[in-house]
Parts: sequence; C-alpha cells; structure tokens
Amino acid sequence: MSAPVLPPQNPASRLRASNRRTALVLAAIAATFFVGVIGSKFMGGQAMGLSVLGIAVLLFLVTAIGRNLSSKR
Amino acid sequence: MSTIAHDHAPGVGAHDGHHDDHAHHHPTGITRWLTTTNHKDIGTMYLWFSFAMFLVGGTMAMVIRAELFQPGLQIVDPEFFNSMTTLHGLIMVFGAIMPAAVGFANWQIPLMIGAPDMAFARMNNWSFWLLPPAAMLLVISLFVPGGAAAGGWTLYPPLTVQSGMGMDFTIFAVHILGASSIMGSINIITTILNLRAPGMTLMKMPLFCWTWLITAYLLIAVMPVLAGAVTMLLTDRHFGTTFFNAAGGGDPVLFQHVFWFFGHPEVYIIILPAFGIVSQIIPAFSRKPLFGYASMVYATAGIAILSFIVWAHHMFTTGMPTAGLLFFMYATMLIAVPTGVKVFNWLATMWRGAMTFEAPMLFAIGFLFLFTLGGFTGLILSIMPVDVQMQDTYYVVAHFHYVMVAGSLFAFFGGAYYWIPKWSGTMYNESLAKVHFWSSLLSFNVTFFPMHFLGLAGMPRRIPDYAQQFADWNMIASVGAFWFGASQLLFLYSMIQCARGKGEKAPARPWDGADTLEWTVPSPAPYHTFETPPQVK
Repeated sequence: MSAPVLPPQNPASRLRASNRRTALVLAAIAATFFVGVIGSKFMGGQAMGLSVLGIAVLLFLVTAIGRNLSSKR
Repeated sequence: MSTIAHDHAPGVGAHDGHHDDHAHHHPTGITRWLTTTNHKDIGTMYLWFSFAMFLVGGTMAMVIRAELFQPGLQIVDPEFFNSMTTLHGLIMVFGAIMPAAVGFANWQIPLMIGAPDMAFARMNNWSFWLLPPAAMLLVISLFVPGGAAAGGWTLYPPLTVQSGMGMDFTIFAVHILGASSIMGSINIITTILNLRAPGMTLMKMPLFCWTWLITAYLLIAVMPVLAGAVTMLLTDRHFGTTFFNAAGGGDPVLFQHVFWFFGHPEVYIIILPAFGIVSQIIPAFSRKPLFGYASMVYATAGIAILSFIVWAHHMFTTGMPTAGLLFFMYATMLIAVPTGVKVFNWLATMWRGAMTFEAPMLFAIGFLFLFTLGGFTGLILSIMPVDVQMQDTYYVVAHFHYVMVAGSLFAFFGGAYYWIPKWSGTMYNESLAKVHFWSSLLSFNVTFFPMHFLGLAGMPRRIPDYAQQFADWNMIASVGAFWFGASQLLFLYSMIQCARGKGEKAPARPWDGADTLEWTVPSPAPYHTFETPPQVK
C-alpha cells in the first residue's frame, strides 16, 4: 500500500508553521529555566539543579537530532 | 558583512514609495495604538514609553541628588530615599533602557532584514501593552502602606522578605516585565531566523540585527531565572517557604547567586543592542565598511557566553572559596578580550575614513570614549582584592553609570538621531542636537566622574546622609545631575519637532555612508514595507 499523498502546503502556511516551531522551542527553553531554578531549589541541592539542566539539554538535543534525521529520510 | 547590494535603488524620494505602501485600511486615533500590529507603530510606542519612563526614573535621580546636595537630611526621609534608589534602578533598567532597545529592534530589524513585519505581530502588540501596567505597579507602590520596595534594585532578602506591600507590587511588576521581555525575544529571534529576505544570509545581516539576535537569546535564558528568583521571594513572603530564610534551612546568599546569574547577563542585554547601533553609525559616518565584521559577530557571541560565568564577581565579599574567587576574577577579566576586539574594530573603521561629525557620530564617539572608561573601571573592580575595598561604594555607582548611561543611553541617543529621518521623514535640528550632545557629555562627566573620588575615599552607596569630607564632590555631582537632566529636554524638543514634521524634509538616504536596506525605502518609511521581499545580492 502506498503512503497517503499529503496536500502541498503553501509557502505562507509553511512559514507560519516554522515560526510556531521556533517560538515553541524558545518558550520551552524559557519554561525549563523558570521551572528548573525553582524546582532545583525546592528539591534542594546542586545535583538536582544540574540534573534538571542536563536532562533539558539532552532532551533538546535528542529532539533536534531526531527531527533532523527524520527530515532527511 | 560590510555592504549589501540589493535591487532597490537607494536615494528614492518619498513619492516613489507607493509600490510598497498599499492602501490598507488601518484604524486611527487611540484605537490605532491599542490594536496595532504594525512593527513601526509598536516600535514608536516602545520608544515613547521608554522616554517617559526615563523621565520618571530621572526625576527619582533628581530627588536622590537633591538630598545628597549637602550633608544632613534635608528633603526626604531615609525610607523614602531608599525607595527612590530602588525604583530609580528598576525603572531605568526595566522601564527605560530595555524597552528603548526593543523599540529600536521593532523599528529596525524588519527594515534591515527585508521582512514585512515581525513574525508574531499580535504577540508584539501584547508584549508592549504589558509594559504600562507593570510601570504603573512600580510607581503606585510608592503610595501603598509601608511604601515602595526599598531594598535596592537587586531585591536582596532578608530585607525584601520583611518589607511591606510595595514589595509585592514590585514582584508582580517584575513578573510582567519578564513575560513581556520573553515574548519580545521570541518574536525577534523568530523574525531574524525565519523572515530574512532572500539572499540575506546570517553573515550578511547588519550588525545591529546580530547583536539583537544574541541579546534575545540571553533574555530567554535569564529572564525566567529572575522570574524564578522573585517567585521564590513571593512564596517566602506569603506561603511559608524558606528558600532564603536561614532560620528555616534556607540561604539568603542563594538569592544573590540566582539574581546575579540573571543580573550580569542583563548588563550585556543592555549594552549589546547599543554596540549594534554604534556599529551601524560609525561606518556610515566614516564612509567605510565596518572593520572586521566577522570578528565583531564572534566577539558579541563571546561576550554573551562569558556573561554566564562571571556572576559571582558581584559577590566577592559574601565569602566564597579561594578557587571560586580566582575563577570569577579571571573569567571577568577575560571579557575585556572580546570587548577590546569591538573597541579596536570601531577605531579601525574610523581610521582614515572620510569622517563627518553629525550628532549620531558625536554620540557614537562619546559612547566609545566613555564606555571604554566604564569598561576600565570594571576591570579594576574585577580584581578581587580591590573589589573587597570598593564593594558598595560610590566607585561602583560611577562604574555602572559610565556603562549604562554613557554606554547604552548615548548609543540610543545616537541611534535616535541616526534613524529619526527614516522614522518621521523629517531631519532633526543639527545645531540643537550638537548642543544636546556637548551638554550631555559635559554634565554626565560632572555628575559621575567625582563619584570615583567619593568611592575611593570610602563613601558608601545608598545612604541619604554622609560625612562632611564628602560634601564638595557631592555638591558638584548634584549640580551635574540637574544639568544632565535639563539637557535631555533638548532631545525631547528635537524629537517632538521631528514627529510633528517641523523641519527639513528627509530624503530616503540622508547619510551617504549608510548602506543597509532601510535606506532603500522612502522617508518616512511607508506603513507597510517589503511586502515583496527584496533580493539581497
């Protein structure tokens, strides 16, 4: 069975989607810092803070690399 | 990037711009300003708002200097004096300088990259309209029981945990201002990354756009940290947590770490857009391309990265391990390297250029001279044993005013004179602008240079009264402050005249050395520009 053919997006809607994606990534970074700084202090210890930051960076990297690889296929 | 070749011929007159200025209906009167999504309208609102807040913050500075004109308590009580120093700092940083930089970004970034508008036009409107309520909260806090926040703009606990209702107003205002900044930054980054004209690669962008791109990333990283810090302060005040209360297992010094993790990059958030403006003005009036464009970009990025690892130089006296002291001292000194790259590149741009000295160039050179002085005193303060002596003295006050006022403010004045022909379609009064420059330059130095001597002699900051030995320099500083404040009325008059169209009509490109895209559209810039993107070669 062949894959369904998606309707071609016009450039304006592609641009809007791209804008939304960029904004969501940036908003997620801001949210991570906000929640991270309070969460790490609430739960106590520097290890917690570093873990929050480390996990966030790792998640962003995995998402970015994954998206990049899937778009190349 | 030094010059941009493009399809639009520079020098077109205002009447030639009709192809860009479609007759879209847009509301008039107050509705236009409340509902506008146009980057030029929003830029204009940001700039007027920031100037209004500059006058409010400036008035508070006048109260401070009036009280300090002579020793003893004459005009205000100490509690109110502390509120003045606190609100002056908060209003100038969050209400005046940052919104001014965003105003420049709103007006210029779409025009410089050939975009029709900002990526999120409605969010842009919202970003602006969050500012007036936040500013009102700060000002209204003066009239609530217990008075406004009085613990300094750094909001250090335990004082801020114990103070009255005005502190809650301040915390809420900081939250709103932070949200506005984050939304503005998301908008700027998305606009620059996604809406550049065909052919406008990142390394062809005008340096102003680069400095703002990096500033926006800094804002996204640090504003949430400040929001987190003041949220913890709020929960300590009202919800029984003890983040910053040693009695409950918390740590007041923790707040300082979190605050300065925001606070030091904030210095660069304030100064990088100013670097960008100066990097547009100096090549235009030297009639030479910017020297070392790529190195300027890398230096800007280098400054931004280093700004994250130097915060504790604000806390040398709080008690840190020696290794920590050494790390933060050397890391701070390291910032002088990329900053030096920038300063020498600006000098090299001017070297053997066909320079003329209109007001924008005068302000840019004034910036260069005074910011370098402020940078040097920063380097002195970065030396830990010296800082231990100077901590919380007027030397620090002198240092950061050389960076903030003579740095950012002078660059913004230069930028306003540089772009006002494009914004209003009217040339400013050159003689008046030169009087404004020289008056500001002299009065600024009369105000703040003596503060170095006061600090070296040991006068602490944030005090309403002082010992007799400090009287002479304080009197001179106060005279300079009133002179500086009065000088800014010349700027206000000049800008109002341009806004009303009183003056010589501006051509599309009034500066013959200016070669970025905004100069290819008529003056004043049509309401809608670059709806068909220009092709950048």
